Parts: sequence; structure tokens; C-alpha cells
Amino acid sequence: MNGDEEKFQEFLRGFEPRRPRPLPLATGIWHDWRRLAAAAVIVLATGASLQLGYRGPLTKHAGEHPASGQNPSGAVKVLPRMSSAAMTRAVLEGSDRFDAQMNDIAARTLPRFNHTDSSLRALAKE
Amino acid sequence: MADHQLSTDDVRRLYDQHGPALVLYASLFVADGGAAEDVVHGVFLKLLRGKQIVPDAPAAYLYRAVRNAALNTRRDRSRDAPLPDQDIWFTHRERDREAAFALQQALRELPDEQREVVVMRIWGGMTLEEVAEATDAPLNTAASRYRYGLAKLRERLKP
Repeated sequence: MNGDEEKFQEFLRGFEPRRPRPLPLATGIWHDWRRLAAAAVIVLATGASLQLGYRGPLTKHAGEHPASGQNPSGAVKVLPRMSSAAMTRAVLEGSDRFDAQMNDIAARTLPRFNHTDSSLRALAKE
Repeated sequence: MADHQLSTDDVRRLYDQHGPALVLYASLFVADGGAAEDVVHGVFLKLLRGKQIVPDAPAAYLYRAVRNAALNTRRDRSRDAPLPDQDIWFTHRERDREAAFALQQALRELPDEQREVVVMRIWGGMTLEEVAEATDAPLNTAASRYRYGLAKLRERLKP
């Protein structure tokens, strides 16, 4: 290749192809259906467990929770569930709401021995 | 030659290195610059999804992939009326738009097989061996196409 050809090639290289728009990298990732599916499963599982954890009617029948106070209609008043932050605040403020909340939760979740067929009551008799 | 899948960073680097010349190369086959970019993006998105095994020296592979994708696009759009091509393929270091347009016209007038070899060699920075591999042509054929293409360009761009 002679000097003229070299020069001509250099001349051509003086022209640069225009730069294209950037590669849409995010699009490439989101097109990966396996990652999307895995993310969806995690979100659904988390949502379902949170919903189950917080689910519960505000009133329950007295027969189910005789430890709580009863009203004439036979239903037991259950306090609205407090968030962790609200409970922490109640503790720091020394508020009675924390004790009330703990009593309410204990009445609904701990085993009872004052029920006629409670196993704890049967054991206590022995 | 070992084949392997590329990481996102590898793909990004390849795009920075070869993207402009690949879009120019795709422009030789499709009607407009937007379609050429779409073709090149399609090839790189497949690489990002890890669906393609790429050889260690990927330039020839990339040009072949872009060529195939561009020909598919051209075939799919063959019934559409071709748009008048107003795209500018090049920028010139000294902002000489007229010279850039003259080069574009001269390139258009080259036979396809010479034009693609010139683009790969001059703006893709490929060796003649890589060009031969990308175009499925013997090395001597690739070399003579390059020589003839260069001579014709020089003739047409003479002041």
C-alpha cells in the first residue's frame, strides 16, 4: 500500500460515524422474565404473610375468648392493633395504652386455663 | 477459539467500541438511521439476555449478526414505501457537513460487497482476516474488494 493510499485512509477516518443513542440496558434486564417472575413471587409471598400477620376482626365471640371482658351482646371488644412504632412510643411515654394493648394481645393469643375444657385447667386440677 | 457468554459490562464496552460503526454498517441495509439503531440494539439486547454465545474475537460475529438482523428488517419492511433518506451517517472532525454528505453519497454508489468491506475496515477497525470471516469470503477476495472499493471512493471524492 503506497503513501497516497495511507493518506486517503486517514482522510476517511477523519469522518466519524455518528454516535447512536445509548443502549437501553434497563430494558434488557426487564425483559428477563425469570427475574421478573422471581420478583413477583417474592412480592406476593411478602404481601400474603404481612396480610395474614395483621389480619383479624375487631370483635370476636365471647365463647372463643372468655378471658376478655364481655358485653351484653356476647361479643368481646378487641383493641385496634397498634404498630410497633406506636407501641414503642407508648412505652417511652409510660402510657397505659401499652399495658392495655399487651393485655389484649395476651388474652387473644396465650393459652387459657379458665375455660371448662382447657387442658391447662385439667393439669392444674391434678 | 473459545466461546463464552458476556457480562453486562462486556456488552456495554463492546457497544461503546463498535456501536457507531455497526449502526453505519446497518444503515447500508435498511432505509433509515432509526431502523439501523433498532437493528443494532436488538443484537446487543440478545447479548445482554445471555442468549448468545460469542467468540473471543467478537467483531466478526457482531457484524454478521447485524447484517442478518438488518436483512430480516429490510425483508419485513419491503412492502413499505421507502422513505427518502435524510439521515447523516457521519460527522467530520472539522464540521465539514458537505464533505460528510459527499462521502455518504460515494459510499452509496459502491457495490454492496465493496461498501461493507470498506466500512468494516475503515470505521470498524477490523483486520482483513476479520472482514473475510464476517463476510464469509476468502481473504484474497476481501482484500481485493477493499482495494477496489477504496479506489472508487477516491475517484468519486476527487476535488
